[in-house]
Amino acid sequence: MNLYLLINDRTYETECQPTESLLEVLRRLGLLSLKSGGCVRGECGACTVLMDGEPVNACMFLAVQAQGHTLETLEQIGQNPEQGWKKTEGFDPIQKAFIESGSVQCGYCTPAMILAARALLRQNPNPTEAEVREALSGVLCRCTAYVKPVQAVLKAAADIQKSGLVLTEDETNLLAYEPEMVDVQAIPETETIGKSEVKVDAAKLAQGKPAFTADMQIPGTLIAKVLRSPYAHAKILSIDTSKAKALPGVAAVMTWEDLPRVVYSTAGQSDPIPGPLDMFSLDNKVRFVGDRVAFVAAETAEIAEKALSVIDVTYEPLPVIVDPRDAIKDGAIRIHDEEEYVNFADSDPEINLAARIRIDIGDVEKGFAEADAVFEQEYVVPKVQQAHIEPHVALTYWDEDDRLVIRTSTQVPFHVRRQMAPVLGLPVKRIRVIKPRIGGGFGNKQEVLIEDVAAHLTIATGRPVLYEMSREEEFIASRARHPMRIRMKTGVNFDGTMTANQMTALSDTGAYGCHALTVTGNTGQKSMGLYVGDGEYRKHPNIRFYADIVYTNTSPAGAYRGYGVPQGYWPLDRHLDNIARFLDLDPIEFRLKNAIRPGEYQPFSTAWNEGREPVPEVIHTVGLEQAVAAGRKAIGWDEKYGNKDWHMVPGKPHLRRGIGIATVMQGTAIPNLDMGGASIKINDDGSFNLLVGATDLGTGSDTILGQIAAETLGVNLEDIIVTSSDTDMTPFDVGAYASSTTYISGTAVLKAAKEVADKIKERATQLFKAKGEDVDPVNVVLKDRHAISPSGSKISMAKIALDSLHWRNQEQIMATASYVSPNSPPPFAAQFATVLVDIETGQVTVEELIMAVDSGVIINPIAASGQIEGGVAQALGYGVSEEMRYDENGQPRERDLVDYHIFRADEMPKISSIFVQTYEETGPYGAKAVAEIPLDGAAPAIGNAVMDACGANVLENPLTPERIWEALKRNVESNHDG
Amino acid sequence: MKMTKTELSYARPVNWDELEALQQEFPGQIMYLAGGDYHPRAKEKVSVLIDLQELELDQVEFTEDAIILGGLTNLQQLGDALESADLLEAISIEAGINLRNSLSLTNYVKSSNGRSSVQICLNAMETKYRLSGEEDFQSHSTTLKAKLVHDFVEDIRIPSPNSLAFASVGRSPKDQPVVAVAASRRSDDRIHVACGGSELMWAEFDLYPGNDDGETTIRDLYKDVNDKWSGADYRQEVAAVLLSRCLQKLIQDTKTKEES
Repeated sequence: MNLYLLINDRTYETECQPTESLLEVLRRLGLLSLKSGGCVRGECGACTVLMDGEPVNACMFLAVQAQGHTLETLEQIGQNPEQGWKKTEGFDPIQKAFIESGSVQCGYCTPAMILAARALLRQNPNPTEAEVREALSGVLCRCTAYVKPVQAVLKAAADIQKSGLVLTEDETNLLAYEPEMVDVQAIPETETIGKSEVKVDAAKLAQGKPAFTADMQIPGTLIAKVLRSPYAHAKILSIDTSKAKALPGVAAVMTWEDLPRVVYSTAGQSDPIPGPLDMFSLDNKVRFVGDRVAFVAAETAEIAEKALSVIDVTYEPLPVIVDPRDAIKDGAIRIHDEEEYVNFADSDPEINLAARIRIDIGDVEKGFAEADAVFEQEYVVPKVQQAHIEPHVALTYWDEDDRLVIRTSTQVPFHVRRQMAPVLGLPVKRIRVIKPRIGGGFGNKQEVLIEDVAAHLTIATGRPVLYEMSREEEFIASRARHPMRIRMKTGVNFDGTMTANQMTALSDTGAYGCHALTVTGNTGQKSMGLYVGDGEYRKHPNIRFYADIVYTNTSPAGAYRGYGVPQGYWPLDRHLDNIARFLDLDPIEFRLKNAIRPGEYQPFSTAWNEGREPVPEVIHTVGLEQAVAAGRKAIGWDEKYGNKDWHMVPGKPHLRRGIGIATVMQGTAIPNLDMGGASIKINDDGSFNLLVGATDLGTGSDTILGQIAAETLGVNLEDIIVTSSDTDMTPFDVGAYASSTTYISGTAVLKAAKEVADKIKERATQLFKAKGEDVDPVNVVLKDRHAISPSGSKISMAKIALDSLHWRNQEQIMATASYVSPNSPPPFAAQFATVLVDIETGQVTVEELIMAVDSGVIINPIAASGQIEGGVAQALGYGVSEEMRYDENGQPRERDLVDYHIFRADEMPKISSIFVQTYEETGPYGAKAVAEIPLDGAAPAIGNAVMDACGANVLENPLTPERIWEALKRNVESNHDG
Repeated sequence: MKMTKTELSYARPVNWDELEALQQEFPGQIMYLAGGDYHPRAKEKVSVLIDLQELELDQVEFTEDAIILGGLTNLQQLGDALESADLLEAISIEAGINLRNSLSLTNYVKSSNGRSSVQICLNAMETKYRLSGEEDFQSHSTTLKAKLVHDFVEDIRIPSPNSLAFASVGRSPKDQPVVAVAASRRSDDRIHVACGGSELMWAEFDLYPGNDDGETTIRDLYKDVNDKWSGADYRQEVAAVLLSRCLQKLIQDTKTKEES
C-alpha cells in the first residue's frame, strides 16, 4: 500500500505492507539513526522516534499507524560544522553536549537519548537531574551508567538557557565532566596524553550516521533466521524442510545434512585455541534450548519466520544436565560424544569435563597448619548476560573479486577470518572481515558466533545475507558469564597475616567449551593473585587454585568483560570481609596488609599461563593503597563505618544503612601472546593516517590510539585519521579483549609513531640545513604541528609532508610496527559502596558507588571515567539484579530485557570514579588497562555493605530481596538457638 | 474512511458507523490497531487491520464519580489523570517513558500479568472495562484478557475516590515486583486490596473498618505462590509487611486530608 509519512518536516511517500513496523519502514527510508535492539516490544528504546513531539518506540507501532502524525528523527537535528565552503548551523546544543561530555561510548543508543532529551527540553527547559533521568528512562544504555548523558542534558539545558538556570549544588557538580585525578608519582608533561579529547567517532554517532553493521543496505539482501532447539538435549532424528523451501520468497534452507562437518570453537582467540573444539555450524544433536537446528534465508524477515515455523523436526529427547554438580557424577549422560571432538589440555568429554586447572603456589597445607584459624565457606556466582544493546549482527556478500566480505559486529575481526576459513571451506585470503562501529560487545562479541550463519547462506545463494539476532536469541543462544560454585579456605593469624589461601571452583561452561579454560583460569589468577600474605608469607605465598569446568545442557558461557575475575572477587572479597569481622580486624588494613606490593611477583605468573609455559613477572606499579585512601575519603568511610547513628534512618525503623569496600586487581593483556599492529603514513597537509587492527567497541580505543600517535608526532588528535579493524586494510591485531588495546596496540602505535617521527626529524634536519642551520635530528622536537630546532626555528608538518611527497628525494614517510609484551601490569582499584536495606522485605537499594582506580597514566580522563562508570553499572547488576536461571528441563527463565532487568537511568545510584595515577614504565606513556577492572568490585562491596547494614551474610549473588531476607532469618534462628 | 486493499487490508474508520460497517464486512477477520502494542504483527486469518485512532478513544473524562479513560489512552495519560504518587511509582516501575507514551491501556490490559504493577493498582481501585459494542463494564479477569485478543477496550472506568497506596519489592527500584500490594479506600469506607508478584496470580479482597488487618487473608493468598521468581514463604511474609504499609499510608492520607 502507499504510505505517506511526515518525517522531519518532509513528506515521504513509500510502498509498504500494512504489517510493517514503523521501525522497519523508517530504516528502509534511510532514517538509520533508529536502531533495533532486537526486541520488538519497546524494551530498550534504541528505536526512539518523536511522534507528535513525544518519545515513543518505533517497534511498537505499525508504520500505517504513524500516518497523519508528525515524526522526528535524529537526522533532522544538527550538522557537522565543518563542511567545506558550505556554512552550517553546526551541532544542536544537545548533540554538542553529548559529544563533549563523553556521553557517546558505543553510540548505539545515543540518537534515542538525544531525541528523548530534545523532547524534554522543549517542554521543560530547566529540568532537574531527576527529571532528566525520567526523560532518559525509556532508553537503555549498557555503556555509560547514564552518568555522562545526564550531565550532557543538564549542560545542554544550561547552554540553551544561557542564563536564569538554577542548579542545585549537586547538579552544578554534575556538570564537571572531568573525573578526580590523584598523582601517586611524577607524571611527565604531555600535550595530548592526559587530555579529555573528544572521541574521534563521537560526532558521527551523535548524528546517528549509518555507522553500524546493519546500517549498510545492499539491494537484494536476504534476511537470515535460525531455527533453534526447544529441547535442552536431544538427537535430531529427521528434518523435513520441504514446506519451508516451497514458500515463495524463501531462498535457502540449510540443515546439518547440507554442510560439511567441520569441528571448531567459537571462542575468538589466538591460534591454537586454548580450549576444546566441540562445535559445528549445524549438528545432528542439540545440546541446549536455543541450539541451532536450521538456517533460512528469505526475501523478508516475515517470510523467513514463516519458513522456520513449517520446518518439521523429529527429536529424540535425552536426559538433561542443568546443575554442574550433576555433570561430574558417575553415570551422567555424556553431552559431547561426537567423534570429531578435539581435546585441549585436560578436557575430557567422557566425563563432561571441558577443562581442568590445578595450580599450587608454595605449600598451602603447611600454611593452613601454621594458621591461628582457618576459615572455609562456599559461595555461588550466577550466570549473567552482556546485554549489549546492538544484537549480534553480520552481513555477508561476495565482492566483485568473488571474495567473501563479512561485515560484522565483532571484537575480533582477524580471529573471525582465521577461524571461519575452514568452516566455510575458503582460504583466509578469500575472506575480508570489516568491523564497523559496534553497539556494545562486552566480550560477547569476542565470540565467532553468527558469521558462519550468514556466510553459509551467502555461499548457498550467491546473495548478500543479513543475520541479526533477536533479543530472545541473545538470551538463550549467545554467550554469558560462567556461573560457578566456589569454595574458599583461608588460613589467617590473629594479627591478620594470611598464611594460605585456597579457592576451588566448579565452573559451568554450558553446552560448549568456549573460553572454558581461560575464563576460569583468570578467576583464580587475577583475584587470588592479589593477596600474597605478609612477612615471610609475602616472600613465599601459599596459594592454591583448583577448578573443574564442566559441560551442562544450558546455553554456553563465554567471554564477558572482566573475563572470569568478577567470579573470583565475589567469594574472595566477601570471605575476607567475613574473616575481618570474625577476627575483629579493620577490613581495610586486613586487605592492605596482605595485598601484593611493587617489586613482588604476581604469584600466578610463576605457575600458570593459560596452558602455556609460565613466565614469572614482577609487578612494578601498585597504587592500591592510594586508591583505598582516595576512595575512603570520597565515600566518607571514617565517618560512616562503625558509626551506629549513621546506620539508622530516623523515622524509618525498618531501614538500615551500610558501607562496604572491595579491593581488586585485573590484568593488562595476555603476556607473550596478545599482539597488535599499527601503520602510520603522512599526508600532504601534515596529517596522518593511522591504521590499526585494534577493535574499538565503544570504549574509545580509536581515540586513545590516535592520542598516542598525536602526542608522539607533535600534532593534534584531529590530524590523525584513524582507520581500524578491516582485515584487508589494517595490520593484524588480536582484537578487543583482555584489556589489551591501550597497552598492546597502543605500544604498537607508539613504536610506529616514533619511527615516523624519526623520519620527520631527519627530513626537518635537511630543511633546517637548507636554511643554514645545522641540527642534530635527535635535538629536533615535534610539537604544535611543527618540527622545532634547538634555536626555536620551526618547519611546519605540512611543509615536511610536501617536501617528502613532492619536492625532493621523494618518499612516503611511513612506518609499521607491532608489539607483543612480556608483561601484564595489573590495574588495581578500591570499590566502595553504601546501601540502604529494608530489613522487613530484604530489599536493598544501592545509594552510592565510588571506584578509585590505579590504571597507570590516564590517557583520556573522560573516556576512562566513562569506562569505569559503565563497568560499575554492569557490576551493580551482577550485585543485585542480574541472573540467568534454568528450570529442571533446561528451559531458560530469562528471554528478554524485562525479566532480565538492567538498570535504567531513573534508578541508578550515584556512581563516580577517581583515578590514582602511577607511571607504568612498560606501558605507552605510562598507561595500564581500564576497561575490565570496574566489573570486579561492586558486587562484593555491595555484599559487604549489606552485611554491614544488617548482618545479612549473603553468600550468593545477586543480592535479591529474598536472599537477604533468608540470611536475616538465619540470623534470627541462630540467635534463638543460642 | 480510507481503505487500502492489498493482500491484507488496512482501514482507519473516522466514526463508529464506519467501524460497524467494517465489522459486519469482515466478521472474525479483523485485527484492531489500538495504539502502540508489543509485537504489533498481524496474526494469521486476519483480512483487515482496523486502526482505531480516529475514534477519539484517547480522551480522558472526569465525571462526578469516576475518571473515564478511552482505551487508546496510554500509561502516561493514566498517570497524569490520577495524580497519585503511588500510581506514578507503579507506572514508573512498569515502564520507562517511551513505553508509557507508546503502549495504549487496552493493549496494556491485554498483555498485563500478575507482575504488572499498574494492573495491580487498577484492580485495587476497582477499575472496570467496557469492551467495544458492549453496554456493561466488567472487572479485570482472565476472561476479559482473553477477549482482548480479538477485541478492544472502549472505556476504562476508575471509580472515585481513587485514593491509592502501593508497595512492592523487586530486585532494583524499577524491577518488576515479586510481591506487590495495592490498597484503595472506596466510597463505602471499605478498603479494596489487590496483590500480585507472580505471573499467574490475580488476587483481590476487601477489608472493612474495625475488622481484621488482612494479614491472615494475604498470607493465605500467597501460601502456594511458588514460582521461578520467588518462594511462597518469602512472599507470605513480605506481602503482610507491604499490606500493613499500604494500610498505614491510607490512614495517614486520610488524616492529612482531614487536617487540610
